[in-house]
Amino acid sequence: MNRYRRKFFKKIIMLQTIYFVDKLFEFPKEKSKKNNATNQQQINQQYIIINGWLLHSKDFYDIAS
Amino acid sequence: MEYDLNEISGINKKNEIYDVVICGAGVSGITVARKLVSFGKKVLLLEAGDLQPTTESQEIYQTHSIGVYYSGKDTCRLRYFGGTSNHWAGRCMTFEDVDFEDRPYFGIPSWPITKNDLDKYFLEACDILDITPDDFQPWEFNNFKSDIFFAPIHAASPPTRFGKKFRTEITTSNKIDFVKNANVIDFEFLNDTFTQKCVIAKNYHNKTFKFYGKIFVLACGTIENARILLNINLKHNIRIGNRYDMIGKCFMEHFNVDLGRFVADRQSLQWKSQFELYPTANFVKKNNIGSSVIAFHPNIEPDTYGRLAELKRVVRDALCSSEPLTNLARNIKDFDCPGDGIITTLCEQAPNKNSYITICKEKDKIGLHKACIHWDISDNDRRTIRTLAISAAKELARLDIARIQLPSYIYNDEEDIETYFHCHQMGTTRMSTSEEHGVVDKNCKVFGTKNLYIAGSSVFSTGSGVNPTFTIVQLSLRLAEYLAHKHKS
Repeated sequence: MNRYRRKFFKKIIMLQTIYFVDKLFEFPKEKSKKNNATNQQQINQQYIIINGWLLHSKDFYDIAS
Repeated sequence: MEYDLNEISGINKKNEIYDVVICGAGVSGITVARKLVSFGKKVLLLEAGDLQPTTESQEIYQTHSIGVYYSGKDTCRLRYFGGTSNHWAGRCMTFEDVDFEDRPYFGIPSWPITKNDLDKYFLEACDILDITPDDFQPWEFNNFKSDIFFAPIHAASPPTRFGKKFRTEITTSNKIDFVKNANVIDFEFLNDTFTQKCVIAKNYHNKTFKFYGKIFVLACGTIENARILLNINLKHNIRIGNRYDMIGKCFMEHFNVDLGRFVADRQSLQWKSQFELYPTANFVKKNNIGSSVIAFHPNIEPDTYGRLAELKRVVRDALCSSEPLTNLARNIKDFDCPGDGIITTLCEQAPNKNSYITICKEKDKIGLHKACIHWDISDNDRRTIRTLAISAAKELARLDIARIQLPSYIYNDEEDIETYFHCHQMGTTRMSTSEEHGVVDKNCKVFGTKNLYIAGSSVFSTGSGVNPTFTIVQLSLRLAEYLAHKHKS
């Protein structure tokens, strides 16, 4: 039983590590693709500011679509 | 000839009536003097300081800041032969046409002259500032095509130190009497007060001297020109050039605003040196804003320090060689790869009567009231800074050149913009078609006087978004030529 529990926690820790490493490697351009527009300040339809970075719609085209 | 007013020499016994008496031997004073001599005029050039900086002279420049804190009040100006050219950086740029045009949103008329009026002095100004027309080049900026910005042209002067360059010429000329340690404190007028008869100067031993002339030119700098005129008006209870309280008004600087940092797009280009953007005239007028140089400073070789500098450099190069690794580093700390950098501005301040120089109760050791600077940032200025910052960021993102991280005060209107200055002091005796909006007319003559003129950036009606020295030289040449022709008799 303990062996399964250890495996389970190992998996959780591994997934969390992957998640944080993934976050660390993200630049605002990529972040914008994952976030939706509700918590971002729209400059206009083509541009967006995230954490001060002014980005073009091509940086976050998959949100728009 | 060179005289020292501290060592009472033969100068005052001559009682000579000079063709032109020039107060101030800085960029504009020296330029006017040399040009007048080329027309055969006899000139007296008064300098408040010595040939080298002295504490007793520099202390007289101490002022108070009573508005937005202006920390350049005591450090920007140099009070000795050659004036502020002694620590000038040497950047030369010319005003654009739009700088001379009326922009109604500024709420005050612009220049009564056009760019063409100054262009004829371009070659002569180049010669004085040790540059050639070919030196004017745009910043290297590949693949940049925009309707709203262009790469402005500029030239780099060595820089010219006026005191050093022209000392021998001035002190050996039989057409110029150069008097150092002569602090201008007063004028003496003919009965009607419209015609100036002589200038009264004081040395550092508290003795006064009179110097007579047919024409007088005040070329003491933006703050000092206004301070001297305000002191004299107060002393004599008159309003020379000040019937509409315009002396000291519209004090302008160039805003140096931190516009954040940029990350260059790897696919587009790697910048090797600083480059700049400047807004087009159409964009300026359409958005009701001023102009500005927006300067990008790439960090070509980010500094590494300490015993592990070499190791740090190797790590940085490794991180910068891969985009995911670069992103990792950027999420941990502010991390620059070669080609990334910071953005600054040289931003036009709109003429604004609430930004002014006045005189306070306290007096300096030569007996003049000290200057108080009420620097003010208007809504026009905030609009200029924010519009240009956001538009530049948009253009570079659209063109895939770079992404810019703006400071929050740019996109959040409720925050105060952090502004610094460039030591480019302008305005205070601005040029205008009418007394209501300025102190001097289009020929730099003080309104209401017959023979008092002003030279230097204090006559600027607007400040543009470019460095002012080249325009100061052009205006000084124009003034000298006008005086030589106007007063031929």
